[in-house]
Amino acid sequence: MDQREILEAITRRTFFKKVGYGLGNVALATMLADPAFAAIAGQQKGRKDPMSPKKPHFKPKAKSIIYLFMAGAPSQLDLFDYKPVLNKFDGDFCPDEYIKGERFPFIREKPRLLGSPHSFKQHGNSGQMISTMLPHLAEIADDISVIRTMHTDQFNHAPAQLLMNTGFQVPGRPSIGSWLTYGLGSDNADLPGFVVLLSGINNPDGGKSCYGSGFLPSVYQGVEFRSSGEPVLFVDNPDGVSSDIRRDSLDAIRDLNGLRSKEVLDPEIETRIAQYELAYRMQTSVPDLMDISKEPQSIQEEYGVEPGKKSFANNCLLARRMVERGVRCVQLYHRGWDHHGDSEGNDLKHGLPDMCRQIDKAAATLIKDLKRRGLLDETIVVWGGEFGRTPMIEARGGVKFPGRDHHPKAYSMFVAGGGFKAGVSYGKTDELGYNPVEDPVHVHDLNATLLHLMGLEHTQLTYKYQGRNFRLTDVSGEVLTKLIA
Amino acid sequence: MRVVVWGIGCVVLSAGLCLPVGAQTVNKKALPTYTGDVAPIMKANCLSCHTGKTSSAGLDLTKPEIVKKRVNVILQRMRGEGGMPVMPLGFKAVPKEQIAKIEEWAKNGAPIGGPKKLHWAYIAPSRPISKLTSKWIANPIDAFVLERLNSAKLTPSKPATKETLLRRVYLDLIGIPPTVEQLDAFLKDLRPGAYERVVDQLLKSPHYGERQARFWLDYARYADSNGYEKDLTRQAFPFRDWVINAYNQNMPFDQFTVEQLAGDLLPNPSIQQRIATGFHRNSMFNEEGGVDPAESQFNTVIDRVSTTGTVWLGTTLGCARCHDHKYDPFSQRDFFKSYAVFANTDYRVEGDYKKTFSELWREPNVKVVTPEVETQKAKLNAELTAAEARLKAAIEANKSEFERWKTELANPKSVPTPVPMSARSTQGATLTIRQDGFVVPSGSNPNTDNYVVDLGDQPGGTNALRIEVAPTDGKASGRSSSDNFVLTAVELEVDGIKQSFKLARADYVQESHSVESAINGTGKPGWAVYPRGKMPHTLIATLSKPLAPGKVLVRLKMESQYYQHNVGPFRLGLIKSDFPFLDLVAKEARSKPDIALREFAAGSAEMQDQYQKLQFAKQALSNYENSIPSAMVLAEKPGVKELKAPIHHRGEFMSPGEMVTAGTPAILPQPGTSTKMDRLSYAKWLVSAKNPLTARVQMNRMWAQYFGRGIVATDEDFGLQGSLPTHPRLLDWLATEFMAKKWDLKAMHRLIVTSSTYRQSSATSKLLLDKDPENLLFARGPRVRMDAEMIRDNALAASGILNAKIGGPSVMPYQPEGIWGMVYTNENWMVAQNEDRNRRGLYVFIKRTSPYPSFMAFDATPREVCSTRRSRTNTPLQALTLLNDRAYLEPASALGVRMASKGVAYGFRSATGRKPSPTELNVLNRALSTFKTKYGSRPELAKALGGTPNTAAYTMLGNVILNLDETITKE
Repeated sequence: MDQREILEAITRRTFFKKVGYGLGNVALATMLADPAFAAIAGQQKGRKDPMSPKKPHFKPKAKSIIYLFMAGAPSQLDLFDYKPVLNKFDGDFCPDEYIKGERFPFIREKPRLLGSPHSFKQHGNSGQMISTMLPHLAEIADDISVIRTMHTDQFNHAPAQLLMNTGFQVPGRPSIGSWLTYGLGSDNADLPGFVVLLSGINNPDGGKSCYGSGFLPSVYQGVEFRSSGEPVLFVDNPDGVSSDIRRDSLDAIRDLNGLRSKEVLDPEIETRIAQYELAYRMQTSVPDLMDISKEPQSIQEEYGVEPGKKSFANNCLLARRMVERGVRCVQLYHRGWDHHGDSEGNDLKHGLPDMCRQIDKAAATLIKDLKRRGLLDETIVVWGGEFGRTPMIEARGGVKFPGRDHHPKAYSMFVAGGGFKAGVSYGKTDELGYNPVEDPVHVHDLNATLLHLMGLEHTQLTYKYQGRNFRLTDVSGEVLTKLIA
Repeated sequence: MRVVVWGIGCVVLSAGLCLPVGAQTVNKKALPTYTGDVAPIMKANCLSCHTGKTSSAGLDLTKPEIVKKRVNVILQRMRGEGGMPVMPLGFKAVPKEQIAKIEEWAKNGAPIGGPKKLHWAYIAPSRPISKLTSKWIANPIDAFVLERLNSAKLTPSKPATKETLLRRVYLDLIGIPPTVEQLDAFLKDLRPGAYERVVDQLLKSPHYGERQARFWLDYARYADSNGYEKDLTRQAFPFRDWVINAYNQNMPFDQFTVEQLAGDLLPNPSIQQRIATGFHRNSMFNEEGGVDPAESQFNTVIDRVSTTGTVWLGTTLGCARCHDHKYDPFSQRDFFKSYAVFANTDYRVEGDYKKTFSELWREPNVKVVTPEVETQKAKLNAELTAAEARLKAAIEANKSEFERWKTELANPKSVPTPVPMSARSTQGATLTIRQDGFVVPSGSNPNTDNYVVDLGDQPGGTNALRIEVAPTDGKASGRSSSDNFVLTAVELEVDGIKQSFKLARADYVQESHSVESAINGTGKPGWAVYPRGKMPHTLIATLSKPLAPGKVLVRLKMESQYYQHNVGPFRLGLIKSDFPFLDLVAKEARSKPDIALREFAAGSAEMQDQYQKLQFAKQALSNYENSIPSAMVLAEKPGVKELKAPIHHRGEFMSPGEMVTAGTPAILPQPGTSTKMDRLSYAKWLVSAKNPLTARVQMNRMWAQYFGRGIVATDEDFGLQGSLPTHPRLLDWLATEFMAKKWDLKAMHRLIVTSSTYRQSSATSKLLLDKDPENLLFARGPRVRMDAEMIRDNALAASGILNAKIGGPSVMPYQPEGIWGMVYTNENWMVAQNEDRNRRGLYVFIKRTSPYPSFMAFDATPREVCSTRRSRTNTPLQALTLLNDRAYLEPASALGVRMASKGVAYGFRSATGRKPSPTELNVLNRALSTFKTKYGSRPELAKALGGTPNTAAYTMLGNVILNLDETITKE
């Protein structure tokens, strides 16, 4: 059996029958000693489904992760990476040494520098510089650490989002949430281990591949919880099927499956019976989880929820409810940060402040709320997009509306909780914010660090597919030890 | 001489099973060897880090000489001696007995062994022969299976029951279950050869091709969209239909290969052979702004090379993109030699990066011109020619008049535009008369209105009325908020006597409106000009007879259902001409002779009729031509003598290096140097008798179709990291038989399904679960959960609503709202409102960034990249899908209807292929009566489910049956 077959077998539970029936301890031990199989060693105890909790490689600092993915790529130069020199030379041509041989998605003519139309202030004891467009996040400056030197290899949305989430620019690799649930399982048997919540103007450019399981078994794919209609696809009974009638039908299915199981002895049937029971429990647990009206009024107001709407604030509150219930990875996508300046609404003066208003209060409240509940220590919160934006004005349709083109060389993200240092500004970019000059952080470095805090060694969390051991960080990635508390 | 070695070790279990992991020697007395003992332990414990140039601590334990040299350190670290952490770091320690084995090997001088042996898969299969005899052996397949069973001291299971076997073979060969009637006929057929007859019949079924295509389309990463951000729809289905047809015609696999990889390079390729090359056009394609076309092409060719390696060679050639393969004997040079073969395909760059911000890399398409299409086109062309001739004849008959028309065209007559004596609105609008004759409405804009214009006394002899509307004085041509009007009637009186009109034309008529309706008294829909209300327009209406002299009164009526759609500023004129419409078209007609012809024809009713018919004929032809689908194909850039490509450092687009010429991987037998290396010779090389991999790889996958697992479990990797074959002799026999039978796929399918191995019962036993839980030795038949598409097809077929239509554009069955939330496109999932909803799963539209959710729940892939092996999981989301997805509720309801008339047992049989036992029937009936009681007491609930309490109860029973494990399992 190869690794994948073992995993599949686990989902069908035959593997454990096999253990029980005596594959032979030696062979089992051999199999489990293989590093590739070690991640599933924890399967022997307790729950026996692919999502049952598994032993990490070493003691983790964090149990869960909430990833606030700002699809479209927010402008670091207007939010977190304060550049007075850029402001000073606003309108001048960008020096040639920066842009020689560069290809930009939309800039065509020799570009001019663009200072930020927004102001920054220092906040908290840490004195981090944060834009005045983010007043609520500024209040918790001492709880978050800004990484100012993120860089990536891709300058188009879809490939860059895929690289951030799956470690590779072409669709088809497992996403970070899939790797985490594959490696660690999840603490709540009645909910998916990896949940995705969408808001903003549309879905991420990379599509569902951003949270797909790639070549890992599909049980590890991100499950979308929807803000309208059924919270999880097909979780609601159809019109005309009451819960007692559903129970009656499940009883009949269980009885008939049980009879067949006795007849043909295939252990997979027993698993199916169990999965139908789990599905039934999900029909209760999911709506219960999604009912944010059960939260106290004060909490709802603090997040700024808008019940029944596709809103980032609702999703932040849901994310907290999910990690409370043991969901391993919650990913929020909020698209709309692509401020090219090609129209009035899509520029730095109007579009960007609007997006900031959509996320600032809720994201800050999420972190505060987790902290109040003692959950922040064991929950990583990550905020950021797929790349940054140029220090130059894009000027696609003239210079009437200030906007910036895609910039993969330097951008900012922030992290909080889960074993990260708090209140640190990590890394430094040059005076124009064009390139990192101190402590550059590649996408793989960030991902290696996230896995590390979750108790996984990124070079060891592998899966063999088509002859190769794949991992989230491809063939590189260094843990950012300086950023770990 | 090369020596074959079957991999590097076996786990020997109490039952004698051989698994391709672990490490125990076959013979306990023998001394441990490097390949038999040590290497497998290294592989299982160490190689994920200590491999190749990037080895941890620089220690490459794939090299036997390094293991030998460092064996003492290795042992120390495995034991955790010397205060260092135990290796492997962070993982379960190496079992003691394995450490002991290495120790023993080291004590004996750590022998590395003889000459380097070539991995089994790279040596051409030789024909194995089994001398085993048994009544059980129906064909050689059984002999090789029985050999392994004997050595494991297992016996085959009894044959499956007739009904189970029939359902199994229907599902395997055509992907649709037998109907109850087909089951009954088979049960009744007690003559010898009944089963074989069914097999032959199924192999001839057109659904056979659909079933086989399901697998191939996964390998071909077939999808209906481009992938990535925009993920726009592509027209890919001609390739899908080509695959179905090729299977149905039983195209030999070598031809199947050559046409798909290089059909365009065959001499005088047919359209179908070109469509076949769509195989490699299925690669994804990023259309996002700013993408570099050259990089796009690079990524596509990489995908094509990797896919070719996986599909034909069962080899992870893609691993050698960035560096020499870590485990298998493929170098980066090999990869880029293959790359060069595929990199000369033709494309053009569309758009201008500087101007339009989009610069796209486009490959060619061809129209799918089949003989039927040719016939239809010829027919339409003939109709067009006839219509042209008729019009020409009609014009010829009026030749002298045409000459006069042309003369007048050259010297147009002026049209007098009298200033009206008075103009009034019957509904209270203010009409102001200007000196140039324009009448300008203002003031109130009533819902409907009539303008009555008195032109005063006019000389007779005029034969047409001209109405000009024009934006004037800041007012648009129409008074509605959309600047439109609807003129429903024009009336003209001379001295109080109403005149009739003959023909009318205007320079522009809004869609679904007409000028004729404004002059012939119908009043509907009238003349309107949206969205061109900001422009001037002219209507000319000819009178049935010239006007007599007298007082002329014109009435314009605006009485449509659209309120306030009143005419804006307008002016009336009276025309006296043999060609009154000339004024409307003069400018255009003067410059274009064919327009002149058309316009002349439009002036007479009979010529206009001929002219209309010609237009219809032209339209019919162009509509038909537009409806002919396009297929995405490959074409070669001409004029390249020798194909070459640079090796890209680390496989990166930006780092091209040394040039290599096109070629095949060096470790495999070479194609010979007589022909130029291109896609065609590469394809022929793949299916040449010399190639040790292709036939084995294909037969292995065919086996997996039936048994849920290949003889080599890792069907995409026959290399050193792949699984070993459980039945190497069987695999080689199948491969050699396949080639001996000239790559005849149906013959091989027939061999497998008529073997005793296949025909066994799939029920297991305590003994078999104990000795062979995964059924690696085939001591029982396959019991495998259906794939996503088959679960759907089975539900539709069991409920009698399957639409068995083959081929054509992909379809959109029911899918919950809001699944597609695409960036930058307005494409929507439009649920088919007709029987297309119930087409087979194979035809469901595949959007890569948003694949069909109920298929994804059952382990289908989004078809982004080549996939040859689907997972087979068992999850609660699957349960929710089958229980609650409307796509499964409709079949449940249809199955309910069947049961209401034919009985519960009939429904159960339709779905599972067998009669329910009395106990099972009891459970079903009990459930039915519970549902009846509950819906009986709550009819509103039944209504919500779409019926009466009785039908609702049956729907729920259908739902129960479609959710049974057995229903979604091939037993």
